Amino acid sequence: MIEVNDLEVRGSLNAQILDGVSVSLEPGKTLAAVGGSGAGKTTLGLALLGFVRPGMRRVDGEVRFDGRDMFELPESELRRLRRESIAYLPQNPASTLTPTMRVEALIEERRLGRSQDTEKLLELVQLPSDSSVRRRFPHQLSIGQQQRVAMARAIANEPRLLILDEPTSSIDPTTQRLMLSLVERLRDERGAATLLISHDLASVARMADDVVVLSHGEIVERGSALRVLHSPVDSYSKALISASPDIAVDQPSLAPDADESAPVLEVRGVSAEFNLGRGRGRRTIRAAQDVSFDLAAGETLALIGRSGSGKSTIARVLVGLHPPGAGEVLLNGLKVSPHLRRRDRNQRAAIQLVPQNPEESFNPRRSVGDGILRSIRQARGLSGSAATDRLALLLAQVQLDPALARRRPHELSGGEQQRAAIARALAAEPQVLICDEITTALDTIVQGQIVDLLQQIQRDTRISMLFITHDLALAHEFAHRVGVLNGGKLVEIGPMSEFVRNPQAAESQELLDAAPSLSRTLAARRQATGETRAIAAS
Amino acid sequence: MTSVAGREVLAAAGSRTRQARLSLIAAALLVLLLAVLFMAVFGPMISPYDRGEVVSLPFAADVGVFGTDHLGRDVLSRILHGGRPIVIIPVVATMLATLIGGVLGVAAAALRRDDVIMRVMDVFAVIPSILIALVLFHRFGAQHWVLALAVIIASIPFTTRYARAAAFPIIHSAYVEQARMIGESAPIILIRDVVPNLARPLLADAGLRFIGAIYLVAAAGFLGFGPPPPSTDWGSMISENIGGAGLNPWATIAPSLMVLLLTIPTNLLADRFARQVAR
Amino acid sequence: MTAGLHDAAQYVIWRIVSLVATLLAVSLILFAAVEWLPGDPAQQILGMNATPERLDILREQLNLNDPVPERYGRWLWSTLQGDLGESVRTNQSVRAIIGRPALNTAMLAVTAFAAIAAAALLLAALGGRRDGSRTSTVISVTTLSAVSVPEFIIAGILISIVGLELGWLPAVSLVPSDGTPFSRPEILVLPVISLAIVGGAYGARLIRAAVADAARMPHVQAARLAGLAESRVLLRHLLPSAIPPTVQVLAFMVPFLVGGAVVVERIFAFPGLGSQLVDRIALRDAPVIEAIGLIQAASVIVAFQIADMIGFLASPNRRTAQ
Repeated sequence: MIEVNDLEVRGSLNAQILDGVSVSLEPGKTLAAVGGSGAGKTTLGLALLGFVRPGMRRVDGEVRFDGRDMFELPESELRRLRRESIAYLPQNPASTLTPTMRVEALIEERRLGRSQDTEKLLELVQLPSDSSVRRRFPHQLSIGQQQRVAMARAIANEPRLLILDEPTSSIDPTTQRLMLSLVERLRDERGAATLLISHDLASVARMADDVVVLSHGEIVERGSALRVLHSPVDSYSKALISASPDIAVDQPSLAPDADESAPVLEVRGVSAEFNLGRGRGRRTIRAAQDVSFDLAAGETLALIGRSGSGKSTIARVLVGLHPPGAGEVLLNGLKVSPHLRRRDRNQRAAIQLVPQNPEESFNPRRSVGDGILRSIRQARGLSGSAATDRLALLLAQVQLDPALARRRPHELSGGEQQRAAIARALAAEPQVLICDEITTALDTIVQGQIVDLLQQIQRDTRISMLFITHDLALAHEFAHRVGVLNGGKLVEIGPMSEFVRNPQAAESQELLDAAPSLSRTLAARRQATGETRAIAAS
Repeated sequence: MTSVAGREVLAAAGSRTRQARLSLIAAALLVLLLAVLFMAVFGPMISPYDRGEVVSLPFAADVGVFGTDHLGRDVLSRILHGGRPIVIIPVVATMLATLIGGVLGVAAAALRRDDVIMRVMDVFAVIPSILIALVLFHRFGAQHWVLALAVIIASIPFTTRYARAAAFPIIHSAYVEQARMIGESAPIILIRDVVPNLARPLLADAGLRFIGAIYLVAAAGFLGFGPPPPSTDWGSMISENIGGAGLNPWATIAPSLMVLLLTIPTNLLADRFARQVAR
Repeated sequence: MTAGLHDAAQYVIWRIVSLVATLLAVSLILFAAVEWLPGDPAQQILGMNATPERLDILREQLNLNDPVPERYGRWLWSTLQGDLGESVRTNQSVRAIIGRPALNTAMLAVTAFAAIAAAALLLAALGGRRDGSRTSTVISVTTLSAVSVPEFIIAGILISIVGLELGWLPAVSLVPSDGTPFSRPEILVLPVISLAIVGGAYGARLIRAAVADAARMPHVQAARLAGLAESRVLLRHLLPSAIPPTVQVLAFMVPFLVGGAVVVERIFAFPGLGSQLVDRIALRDAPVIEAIGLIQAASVIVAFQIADMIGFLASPNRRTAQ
């Protein structure tokens, strides 16, 4: 139905975005495109709409829909194809909703004669079909509801081709399941073909029939999903699949050689709130409620929760950026001030934060090495050659080329930026390292490297780590203990190994169910296909 | 295949020549602007006559390069003398307005209660700047520093608003937070983190502000608040001689052209720079 | 829905409060500025030969001996009641002095505003349709150059060429004593063109930038990828997002017109508020200056408030609560 032949797309400075990519999509089948960041997945998805982003251009190749090259179609024909036959959901589906239009208008304008009516479409995405949703503007709905409206709008034309670009990265588990069922319905009723772009290999294993692995704009491996994900041949595919965290894979014993006697950090009954907006629209959010936990030397505690569960607020309380409304923080048994300004140099140095977005944490007009040096001087009082020697040592410790340290932050890759940020935190010789979603912006392989680096550092220095993440499978790979946050409350805390076997809180169970497991999904699919074969044979 | 690739190479080369052409235009504009500035500053030294010297009948079109003005003085000489105020006052006033606005804007962005500063600026923004300028002229006379003061008062509401908007994301950036976390002091953060990142956007805004300053100074001269006779500026020359436009049009056109030779290249260059900063 | 209504009412009240507060602050600054003008009004009225006794009597009559805050309070109170007082020069009521000029200026400004809005929207539409095209580049350079031309220079050129050389239109905009500018529309043409070239070019640039910003929003891209007709993408998805900034730009033309009118009225000898202001400041005629200043500031404030209200109505996410 759709054939992409030798598609070559270049970006600014003639950079290769897609290099001779050929794929074909068949009715009723789902093709998944996986690969690291910058592999060209999104560009491929948009090419199926006959679209190349501004600043890029198609150099060669074609995209044939029912035999006609989309890039050669007149504007009106291309528009009709998108209008009548294609649905596209980008990474952040809610962003496709025009804020000045009501829900019903947004869905209505995508409907066709053959389509279900708006009520039905809303029911399909499990939203109330009465005026409580239909007459509303997008901003009056929760983000989850907005995502569902975006789905209803996308499929309102009963498409024959579905393009899903990283749909699961911003969507909660229930909405994910809903999306899956919608895809299945369109596949069964309309014989729709699907292109699934994802870094989440477990959901690929669940949904896809075939997989292509992209790396730097080239397809390095292709084949059936079961085959590629279970026994990849290409070295990049292998690396990608082995770096993907899997909640069901048992980790080697992770008991820390921590002395249980005295915790390094004690958090006692911390509550914190912050104000959102100003003036009339001001609202107070209770971000943390009576949170208590300890952290021992050489131990890693993972704090898990969805977005808005209060994870980052706790990190900010610990470093003194957000004075809590109640509770206290003890370092080596001594109370530290809630205010950054009233902490002394050693207290500030002892708790260091590695931020979610390392690039933004470096002054854009100075080199990253300069930022690390500043931390060395300020926190440890070193200067001159002592400071530069220390810088060289730190760069070696985080395995960052000293030449890169002379560059400005935006000239480094995401992984290099994160290594620099870790070096800057280590410059203060902290006892506690707080990592706030530090791998969220990285692709799977780089994420694995950063996690390996952190483990290495912990083995060498017996530093305590608070690893804040929404990704339970990732935390499971190396955290000794885990705490689950829900709505600002710590609902469960305990050793990771026990937690995955026997979660106590309902929220924990949900997180555990939603955590990706490639091995488990593959096993389930194999069994299912095996069963169908058995049925077919009998 | 090769033909497509070849076309692409050509297209890339084409966009490169376009880039080169653009920077060539920018360079030409810069040379033009520098020439006008040079002439304004050093004009009095190369002027054929003195600014007050009567050389012929009023509005004589056939004397000298541009003829004579309403008092029979040489227009070219007066143009060479009349550039200094219209160039130097806006430059000084814009620099000061940007500096003051920068300080106020950074303060407003850094303070939790910034409403006071911005409210005051809102009030000054709605009072016609020409009224403030006129009151100042009557109070102190049309001296150079009064003109500069009028420009500064008229500009500060806008430079402050702009500086606040530019400083806010910097002051609340992750890198400033990082500097605070390692215990860096506020003055050091200001010097090392805030000012270097604020300088370029403020400079871009100053370029656009400069046009407004030239406007106000020229308009003041035009309304009769130019420098005291026999001194002059290009704005005053236009208003002095517009009545004789039928006799010697060059007495009006020449100073008008000089103002445009100052404002148009400045605006084109400032716009170009502002775009580069925004990118 | 009731919540929405409640929100709108709250918003309107808030707007009115801020409008009144700004006007009060403006009145205070105006009063102080005029107080600060040099010279003694009594001396100016009676001339240099006046005896000290007569000066004292006049000062008393004019309440000039009262403390400044008291005089400000009295002036504010009578102004609030609609009484603008009398000219200290001619004993005419301020209302009578500025009535006709205010009407003249209003007609000039409204015509110029309409011309500016039309020119700006047209140029923005032409230039914004395809970024990087030849038309778009030409319009961009032309508007940028036009923005750099002070209105009195355009006026000077128009007077020299169209007025004096060709004699097509009056070089001087005298308003007939028994009529309004609209009864002789030809006198408005050159002043309006002088104002509209700069204003229209400036507005076009800013509006184009606002539309370009809206066009880059993800929901507009999404609407295009959804295969909707281009007219629908423009009218339903793109332009509604561009309305608030566009209205802001148009409101910004009002202070430009207020300032520009002073110069343009002067050059065309147009009997408007701007000409009056220049004359009365020279005469130190405090009540008239204050009245004109208030009118000018109030028109700017009202324009900004109207723009904000239109922006409010056009943005559902501001208009309706969560």
